[in-house]
Amino acid sequence: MHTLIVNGRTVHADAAADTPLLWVLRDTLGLPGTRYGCGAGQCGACTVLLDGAAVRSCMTPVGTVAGLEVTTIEGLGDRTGPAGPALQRAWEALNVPQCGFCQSGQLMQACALLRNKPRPSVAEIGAAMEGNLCRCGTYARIHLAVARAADDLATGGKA
Amino acid sequence: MTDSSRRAFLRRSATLLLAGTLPLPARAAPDARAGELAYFLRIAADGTVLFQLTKHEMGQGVAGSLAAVLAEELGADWRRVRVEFIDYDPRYRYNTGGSSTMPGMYRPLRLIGAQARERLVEAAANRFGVPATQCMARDSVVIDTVSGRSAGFGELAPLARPDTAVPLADVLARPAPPLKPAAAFTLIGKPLPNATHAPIVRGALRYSSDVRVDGMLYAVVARCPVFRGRLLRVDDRAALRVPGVRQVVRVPPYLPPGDVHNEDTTWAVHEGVAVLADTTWAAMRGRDALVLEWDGGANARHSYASYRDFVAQQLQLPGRQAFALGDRAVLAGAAERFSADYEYPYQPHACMETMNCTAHVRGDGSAELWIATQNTGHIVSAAKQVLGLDAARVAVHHFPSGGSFGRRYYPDVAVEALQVSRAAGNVPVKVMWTREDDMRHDHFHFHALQRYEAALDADGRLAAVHFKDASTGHVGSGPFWFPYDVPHRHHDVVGLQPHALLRHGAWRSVTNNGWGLSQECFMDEAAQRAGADPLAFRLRHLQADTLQAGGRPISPARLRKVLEAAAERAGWGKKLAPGRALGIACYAYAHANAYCAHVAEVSVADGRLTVHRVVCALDCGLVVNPDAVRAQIEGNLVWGLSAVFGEPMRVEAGRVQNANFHDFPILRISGMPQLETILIEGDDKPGGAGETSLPSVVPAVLNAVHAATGRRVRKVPLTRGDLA
Repeated sequence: MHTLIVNGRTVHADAAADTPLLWVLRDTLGLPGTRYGCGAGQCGACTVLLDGAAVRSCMTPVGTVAGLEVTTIEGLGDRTGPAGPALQRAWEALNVPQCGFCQSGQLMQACALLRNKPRPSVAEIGAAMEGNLCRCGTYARIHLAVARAADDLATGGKA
Repeated sequence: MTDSSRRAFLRRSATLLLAGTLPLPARAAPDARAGELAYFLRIAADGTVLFQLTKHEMGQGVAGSLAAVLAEELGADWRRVRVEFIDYDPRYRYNTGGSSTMPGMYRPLRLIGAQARERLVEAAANRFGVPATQCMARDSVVIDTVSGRSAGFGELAPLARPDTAVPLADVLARPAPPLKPAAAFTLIGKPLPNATHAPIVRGALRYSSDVRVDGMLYAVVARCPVFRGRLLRVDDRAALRVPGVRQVVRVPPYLPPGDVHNEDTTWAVHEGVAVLADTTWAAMRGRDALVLEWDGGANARHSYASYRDFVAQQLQLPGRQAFALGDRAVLAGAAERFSADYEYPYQPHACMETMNCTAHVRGDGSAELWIATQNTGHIVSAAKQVLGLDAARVAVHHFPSGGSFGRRYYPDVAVEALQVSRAAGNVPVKVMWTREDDMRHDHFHFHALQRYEAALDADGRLAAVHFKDASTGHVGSGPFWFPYDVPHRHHDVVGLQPHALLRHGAWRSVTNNGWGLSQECFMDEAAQRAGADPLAFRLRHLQADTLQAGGRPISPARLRKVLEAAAERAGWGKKLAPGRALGIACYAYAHANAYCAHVAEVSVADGRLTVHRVVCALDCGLVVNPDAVRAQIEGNLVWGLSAVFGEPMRVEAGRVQNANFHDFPILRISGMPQLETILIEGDDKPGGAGETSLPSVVPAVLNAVHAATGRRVRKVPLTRGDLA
């Protein structure tokens, strides 16, 4: 039995210690917003925050996260300070998603970036998002939306 | 979860608020048709307009765009329109493909919307006791324009006659009611967000891979690694010892002959062994522990290199004539002919959401499926054909998908899941495909090798063109959408479907990827032969008013216009930054009534290609949602560039070696060039957008590579040595 802190709540999950956090979130804890894309840390669709840092949950054994704060897309709106909501607003304003499947990971990755670096340059946005694949091709809008969210945060939502 | 609460969950998860923030709470409608006012349309008591989506939402935005068309004509308040991902209902056609959704649905939805509006107006007029002509519908309310009295759609709908007693085709065949003039549109032509966006950014959109049903087991299938191969032996003892693994069952294959081309032969199910477990992870671990022995059969003799040689030999065969104009003797007798071969190879779709399906075949012969599909009708007919299920007792619950691009057109995923459920003793199962499964057992893009041979006349115009198409996508026929006016044109096809090395299928733009690459790279080579500018050379062959191509009319004028627009924006003929070069290409996507041109600006340094900037001009007729069309142009650019910059598929002993995104890479954010899009509305009817801006991407880039380096690359992907 593993005791986890997910989106601020303490939860228990019965799973083998080598089970990737991804499958515990999806199959055991009923939090399917974190997506399976590759199982190999290649695509970023499963990105969650672990104590604020973006990690690939498909490569993170559940046995290694005890006592750490796990934040998933379901917690982006109210567990990440102003960054998460700013990103959600920007994503909607610019109609970023197409199929949307990779966007949980894109948003969590962008959230980790903005919490570390509130005013990233274009190059820094690109570097931070390089590990997150989007087959629909929403990259140009992701660039714009991260920058817009950063502006929004800098101006207190008046951007 | 009980059956009824499960249905409530499904209904809740399947309804999306179009404008606003979150799906509304479930409304436990006892009947999925309650409040049905017309085909595609229910109106709830509170006035909510429920658009019944029958096309597959795979990111192309049809949920919102189609709802907007209906809501426009109905006079609905957009803020109170919702989309319902309805269960399979045989009254509708569900197939979504060929960029046909908007061209096929635009007029029907306007007619349905206008008829429903008339009935709501009539109901209001009766209630007010005034002539219908003095009432009008707007913002989900019908107003008596004289007295100012009004009544909402919610109260009027029960008073209006439902219009689903006669078949849909009969409804659509009626004389058209007055339709809104374009000048009065408030939704059509506006960049509306899709219904899915708000739940997506909260992780709340439910895909089929998120489904959980009572008593469900998770399954992962080991499939025969060679197309048409068979299972020889399985030892499942170690698999059954993996904690959480419950059962191991065999999945029978469905392998139709390859020498017939119809709906039953364009898909297949690989033979397999399914491991069922309590969790996805346990099923994966269990599968890893299987000991399997396969007989690969005839395809096991091939590597991709040897298969390419085989196809090159096939291209020497005369083939079957698929199109003829003028005289073959003109080319044969020409003093100087030139020719080149072009290849568009096998490659996987690589949708971000891997294939998956939850299925339950019950002991009483009924079945239930939870799936994202582009072709529900085919799933139901395949369930009958392959499993002998009663089509009337196969229920299908629809979900949006995490990308499809043609992959989910085929019923193999559903049929396999049904087989697993039945073999496991009629338990509900969720069959999850891993990324490796998805890469290696795709319905891949066809392998196509194509040859152009041509001769110029004394004025430097194309006198004769011969096109030969050897493709695993054909058994011997095919249209020809060559848009250029050439007096002697012949098209022969060498059908390779019976010799397919891999299972193949529709991959975004389908045959047009190969046709686009070969046609537009060939036109560039022909222009060079003629000593002409590539743009001017194309325009010179696009002077006809209309052209018949593959049995469809093509408008060279519309193609001319997009070419000129893209060229002008890109600075064609102007001085470029040092090291930069431009390439141009265009494509008439005949069956979707769309015309596209791309100009790519590139540089090549140290054998490395960089695409700096791309201009795309697309004329797909009337545009319902310009933002959604632009998103498709963005996506198609990523698809084209992924094909250019990707890794080649590797096949050894018939087995696909590429496994995941590390060895079949798709474009990452750093590869996205600056993109400028131009939309031209060359028709008052909508054409298609999903695929129509893809075929010209690759040749524009390859032609730019030639302009930059003098090297002709006639295939994708670029490999080491192509530019060095």
